[in-house]
Amino acid sequence: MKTLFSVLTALVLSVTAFAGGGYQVGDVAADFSLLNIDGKNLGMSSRSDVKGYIVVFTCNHCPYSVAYEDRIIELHNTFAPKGYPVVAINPNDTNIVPDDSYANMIKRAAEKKFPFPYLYDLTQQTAKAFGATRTPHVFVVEKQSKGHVVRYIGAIDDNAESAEQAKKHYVADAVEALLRGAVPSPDNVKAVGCGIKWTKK
Amino acid sequence: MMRNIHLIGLLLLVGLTLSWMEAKAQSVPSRVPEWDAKAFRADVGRQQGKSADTVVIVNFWATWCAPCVEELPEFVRLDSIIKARKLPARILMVSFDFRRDLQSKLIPFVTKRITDLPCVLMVEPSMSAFINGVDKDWSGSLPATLVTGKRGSCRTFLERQVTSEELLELVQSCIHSQ
Repeated sequence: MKTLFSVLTALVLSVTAFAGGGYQVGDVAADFSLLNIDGKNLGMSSRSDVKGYIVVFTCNHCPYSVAYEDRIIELHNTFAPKGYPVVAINPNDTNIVPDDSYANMIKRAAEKKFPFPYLYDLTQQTAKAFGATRTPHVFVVEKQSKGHVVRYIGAIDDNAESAEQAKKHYVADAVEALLRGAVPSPDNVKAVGCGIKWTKK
Repeated sequence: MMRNIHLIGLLLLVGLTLSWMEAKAQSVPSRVPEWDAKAFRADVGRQQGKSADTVVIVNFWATWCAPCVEELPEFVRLDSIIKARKLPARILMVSFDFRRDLQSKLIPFVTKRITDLPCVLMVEPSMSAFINGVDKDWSGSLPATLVTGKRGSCRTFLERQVTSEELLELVQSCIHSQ
């Protein structure tokens, strides 16, 4: 009976995990511990002096990610002093995309002088838990008593090609809203991006 | 006086020739026209008349997307099968390349690599709405492929790489379901 129960539980859990497809706005994000470009592991609970994080799944090779690099740096420079630093995570299988290897992450971060951590999601478990599917893919999380709550999911702004021509700055607006104690709106904006290179089984 | 008339006639002729040449240049459609969501819906969403029974296979791609470029031969293959078997189906390639790369990268690439496949450049400003309109489960990652039949019957959306074999199966079941 006990076995049957655990089998059923496992079944229900796996179905939920499959159907869930990552976090929705309002979900509590599980913490992670990933290797940073400085050789140390880092997670969301590593810092106690923040109000939340701008978690950006991104990478070296994707032209959409590259197009957004300067804007991600700007987001960090604007919002880190206000309590919302950027945490960049590379989720790609580096056997498929050697440009995204850990060594190349260190190189790219140095070239662009990334002012934020750039983590390597070797097992891709963090990207899967969040439900990230593309790069860049942003999750704004707010630190609450129950944990890191997802408050915004999606695009950085509405113009990948040109920062100057972007009319809507979704992530900046969402963080501004949180800083005011308001609810981000919209809280989920889709955009085109490079599909995450999942390890082939 | 006579000389003036000649001159006016000559100028008129030159003017007319120039405007005709301009009109002709404009009437030649670009190999890769720029489309917004409305143009896409007008083409894929509401098929009328003779083409009402045509199954449409839409591939969302970009020249900068490596897995997209990798799967392009699948669409070229599918296209030749459709034509050889005279299936009521057609392929549309929708590129998400940057607009600034249209002339320098996209058109040369399309001309060389997918010669016979119609291709458009998506320039919709409300991309989130467009993505949801194609399929609410599409997160926006590339490549992605939509197979859709008459008035949305037999609709399948795949957010991953595809093969010509599986697409052909989808197309055939779509044709039979209509």
